[in-house]
Amino acid sequence: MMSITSTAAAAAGSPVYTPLVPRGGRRSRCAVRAQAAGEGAAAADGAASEHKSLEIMRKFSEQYARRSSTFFCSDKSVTAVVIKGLADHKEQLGAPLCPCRHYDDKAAEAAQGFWNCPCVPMRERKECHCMLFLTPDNDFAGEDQAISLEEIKEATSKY
Amino acid sequence: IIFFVFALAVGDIEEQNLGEVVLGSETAVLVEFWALWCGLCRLMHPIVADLAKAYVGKLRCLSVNTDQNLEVAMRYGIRSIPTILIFKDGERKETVIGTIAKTALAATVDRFL
Repeated sequence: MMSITSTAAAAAGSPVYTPLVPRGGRRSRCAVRAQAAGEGAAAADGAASEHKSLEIMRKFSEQYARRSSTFFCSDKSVTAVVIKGLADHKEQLGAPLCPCRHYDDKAAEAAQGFWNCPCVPMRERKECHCMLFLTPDNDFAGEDQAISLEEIKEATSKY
Repeated sequence: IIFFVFALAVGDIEEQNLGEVVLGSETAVLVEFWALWCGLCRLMHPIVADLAKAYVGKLRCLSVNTDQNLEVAMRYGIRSIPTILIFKDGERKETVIGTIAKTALAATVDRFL
């Protein structure tokens, strides 16, 4: 279970994050992507497709927040990071698998669908352990149901 | 500056070493399992880094990227991220899933020092 207290909310308010790219992490991911996309024009297509996935997941998040009467985290960088994670999974797996869980087999999990966003716990009980969609009574809930592409890029570009 | 502190205080660990560290450590060991695009992990990192600083010599803090260490994530049954495990005397003593306030995490750690 998630343990959320007001002290944690206070800590969440201070945007003191550490760059999280592990040694060689970003480089190796790019290498895989470049390999998959081929060179030149194909690589440019890959970037365009990535951008498209990000925009799809951004719009989906805004719409779903409004439809479910939930709100983004008061610290929008949490929102941005999760949307980026969803977009990456959509790109890699064809489905926006929840980026806040570990799976032994991501492809099988995406095909199964339980943790594809909006996941079953969210649809049934408005439980989003990623803190993308928060009910108003949650200590971490902010007042926004919108996030711009710039905000997402700003928050995710340094990783 | 923050990155520097985090890098010094919280070691990123490869999967083959985790078992050895956990078994061989005389102090308690805190292991944070995280993933790149998990928003809550970013909230927990500074908390774990602060704890590592505050408990130097008493607690060893490590972080494991689950996407890069599939075996170890599987071995410890990691599902929801972030998950923090606390080990003492080579045994898993505590599991914390999701976010937790620094004071609460410190209180949990205190039980195993």
